[in-house]
Amino acid sequence: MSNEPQLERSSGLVNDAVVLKITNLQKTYGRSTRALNGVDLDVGRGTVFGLLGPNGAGKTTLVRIVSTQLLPSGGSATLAGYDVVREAKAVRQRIAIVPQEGRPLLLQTPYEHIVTYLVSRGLDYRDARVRAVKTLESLNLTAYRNVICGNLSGGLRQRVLIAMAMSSDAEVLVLDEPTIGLDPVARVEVWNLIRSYVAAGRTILLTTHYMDEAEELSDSLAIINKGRVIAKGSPGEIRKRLNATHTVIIKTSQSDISEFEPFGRTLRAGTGVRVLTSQEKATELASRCLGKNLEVSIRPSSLEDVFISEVGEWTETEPTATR
Amino acid sequence: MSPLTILFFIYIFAGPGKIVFAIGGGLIAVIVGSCIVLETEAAFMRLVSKLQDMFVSSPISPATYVIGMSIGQLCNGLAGIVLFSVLLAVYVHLTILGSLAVASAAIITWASISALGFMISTFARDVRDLWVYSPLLNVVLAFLPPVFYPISYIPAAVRFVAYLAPTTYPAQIIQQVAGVGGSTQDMIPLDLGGGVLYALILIALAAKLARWRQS
Repeated sequence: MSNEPQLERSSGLVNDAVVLKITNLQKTYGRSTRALNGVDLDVGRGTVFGLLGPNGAGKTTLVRIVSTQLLPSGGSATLAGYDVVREAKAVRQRIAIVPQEGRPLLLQTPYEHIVTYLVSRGLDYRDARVRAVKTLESLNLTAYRNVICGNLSGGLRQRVLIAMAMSSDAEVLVLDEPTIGLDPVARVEVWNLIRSYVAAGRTILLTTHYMDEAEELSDSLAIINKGRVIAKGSPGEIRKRLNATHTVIIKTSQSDISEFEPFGRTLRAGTGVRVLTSQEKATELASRCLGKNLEVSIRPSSLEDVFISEVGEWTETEPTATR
Repeated sequence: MSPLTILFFIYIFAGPGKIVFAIGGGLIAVIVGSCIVLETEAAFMRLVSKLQDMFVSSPISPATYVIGMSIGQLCNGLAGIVLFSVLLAVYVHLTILGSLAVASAAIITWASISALGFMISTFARDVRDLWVYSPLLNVVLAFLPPVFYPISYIPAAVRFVAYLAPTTYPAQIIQQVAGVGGSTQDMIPLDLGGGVLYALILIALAAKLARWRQS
């Protein structure tokens, strides 16, 4: 692990350039299903923008509109200055997407996938072959170049799709839940690919419901629930919304949790309780819990706590004392 | 295999004199069988592998995408197409114009059935929805209309119904080139025009109704 101090990432507007601008975006399916309810977002050029939310929050709907697969019901979105509805052709020149739960064709090799994709994007066949080889090298897939995808693991198949998209050198790469279903090692490999792509000056719009992934990769992110953005900014800025630095997780089945409220904002979570508080009070609370033989742990507050405090379905009680 | 089976049965039960119907019909049926599968393949690319999403969000046009896929499907039937084309050349003394007419009939069949297949695929919510339709459409398009038999077998009062099938036109062209079925070669331009118009209508419908970008 590096000994360098962890630099706080800014809100993500590198070079003060917004490559994707979403204004009051709305989408209604049928007559009453509102998937997006007025979303406003700015994605900075050369950054990873994370879209975090539970299943059904509207993440995939949003990326499908941005990537010109779906028409919105209202609002607007522009990518590199081009409207995604009226100027879809221009937008499509500048984006590539890895869809959620996509799969490569099992009887084709990674090399064939990339060449086909590049040729379909207008690249000359010879250039496509050269670029395919380079892409396979940079993504450590050379060893699997001529192996049919049916004989590859799930993680490698996902890397094939990512390789296809990255080979295009698109200005904006849209990754819809790229690590879903992957083991921890494969996930880290995908994370490294994402970092390398952004390091080359490209922009990535990433949707995920993995907190650690959003926190690890995103220069800025938005938490979305039921079609609305409930928090946005850098991970650090979002964590500050909690007004707490630490989270105490207590395993208890007792129904009355009011005894924890003086220590901070108390949320019931599954079989236990979470208390969002300062470091000092966290230590005090943990000692008290240990005295009662309760299973307790302390960790720094994370996006997960923001998520649960804003979105969670758990019973929530407000603190009775000021912190 | 079905067209070859039909060829066999027609030869055995109808006699060598009717074999040209079997060969011409076989050529149409092989193209139909190869191209109608596009409905399942396109649905698979959209619903299962999700690769269509990658192509929608890229510079490729829907027309290029569909043409590419339908040529790919046609390659599956290449052996049958070559076989029936050779048989046609053997049993029918084709002139250059006749060969062009037969090639046009094949292209009309390919274009109209591919457009129909792609259009159907875009409405499927699950690939399993389509498993039933391919064999059904194969029968409706290749075996019910006068593809393997002369149109004169259909009573005149209801003969117009046969022209509702896009495969009737190319089948008539091939039968007219071969000089069987009752109609003359003078009718070829008419059936060619009808077939092209039908194919254009199906392509226009596919372009309009196909959900390249969903609303």
